[in-house]
Amino acid sequence: MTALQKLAGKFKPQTIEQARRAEHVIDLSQADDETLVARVQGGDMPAYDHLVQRYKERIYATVYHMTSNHEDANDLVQDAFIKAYKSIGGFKRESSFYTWIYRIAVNRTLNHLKRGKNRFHFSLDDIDTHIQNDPDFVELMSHVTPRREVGLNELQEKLNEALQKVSESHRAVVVMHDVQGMTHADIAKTLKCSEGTVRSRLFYARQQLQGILSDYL
Amino acid sequence: MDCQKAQRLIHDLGNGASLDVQRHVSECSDCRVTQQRALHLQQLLAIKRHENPGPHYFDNFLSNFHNRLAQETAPQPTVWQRVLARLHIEPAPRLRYGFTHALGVAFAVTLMWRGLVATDLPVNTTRSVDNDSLVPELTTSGLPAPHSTPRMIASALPSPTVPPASAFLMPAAALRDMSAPRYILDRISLSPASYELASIHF
Repeated sequence: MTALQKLAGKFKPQTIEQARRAEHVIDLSQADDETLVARVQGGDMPAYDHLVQRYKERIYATVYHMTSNHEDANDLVQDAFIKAYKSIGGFKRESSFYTWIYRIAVNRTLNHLKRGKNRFHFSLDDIDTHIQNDPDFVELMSHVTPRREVGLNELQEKLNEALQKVSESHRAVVVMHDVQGMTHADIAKTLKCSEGTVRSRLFYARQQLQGILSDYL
Repeated sequence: MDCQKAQRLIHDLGNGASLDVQRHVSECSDCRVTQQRALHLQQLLAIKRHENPGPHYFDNFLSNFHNRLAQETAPQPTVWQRVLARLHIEPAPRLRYGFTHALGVAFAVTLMWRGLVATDLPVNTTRSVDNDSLVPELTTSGLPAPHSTPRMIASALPSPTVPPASAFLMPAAALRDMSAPRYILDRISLSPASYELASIHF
């Protein structure tokens, strides 16, 4: 046996193992939520990692808009994923995993806000460059009002301040509908209330926001 | 359509308002202003859709999540560990054994001390029939209760020196006879006792 063959024999099992792992990773990243949830319920932790990676940013966005604070949002999203992992055994797959985890995150955030534990300083996120192409934003800045004179950061700050002045339940509805673009029916499912309640909360929240932001409208 | 209803529908439907609402808005200046303000608010809120925490914000999210999950699923510390942690005492195992030993010694000393106190009779106490405190509790079988001390048991037993109450009614000679020993050793044999069978001669 030559030295090369010995070397090949030495490295062959590792190569096979690496290939299997790579195949495993590819499979999981392409798997749908139901498959991943079934694997997690069978004790496969890496499958849960894929679910976390898949939804962390979307859930973070909602929680951040409700709290206007990075640290709180980060803690709450992690809390939500931990809670979901602990109770995934009881998840009956009547709704999608995203709806389920989203509901957990929103409820935890509402509880957190009701306890008054949120940090009262705003984290100003970077606004991505795509905003310049957003028709809503273009139209907003084209109006002949004092808005033209204010910077984007100031608008953002005033917006966050105004949102914090609205009650938690009303804020959640505004964020989910006007920022996240969810339908009344989906919001009602998430908050476990009627569509009428969602519409009512949305109406009063907007009325309140219009009053607070009257200088910018 | 009245203004209140129209304004509700403007909020509900936004740009997709029905023809009735649009007709009312075109005729009513108040409702037109309301519609404009609602539209502007939605445009303002749209800014939030473009807020991003930064490109590398979620780089450590998964590892932080794993750390927190490990912490939350780890076994909870015992009461002893929590007390020591609060007191900032480091060599916990050694202290634990030391504390246990000290507790054991203290317990043993307490037991011994209690035993000595219980068996010790007061100096001026004379044994009498009226001394109820020294009489041990008797169980249904007539035996002293298990917690009675030896001294208490001894005091409860009839004393050989004290004659029974009926003896006071008897004549002195009879009393002397009763108190006299029943068996008297006549003589003490100095020869050693033999356990061998005596030889039988026929």
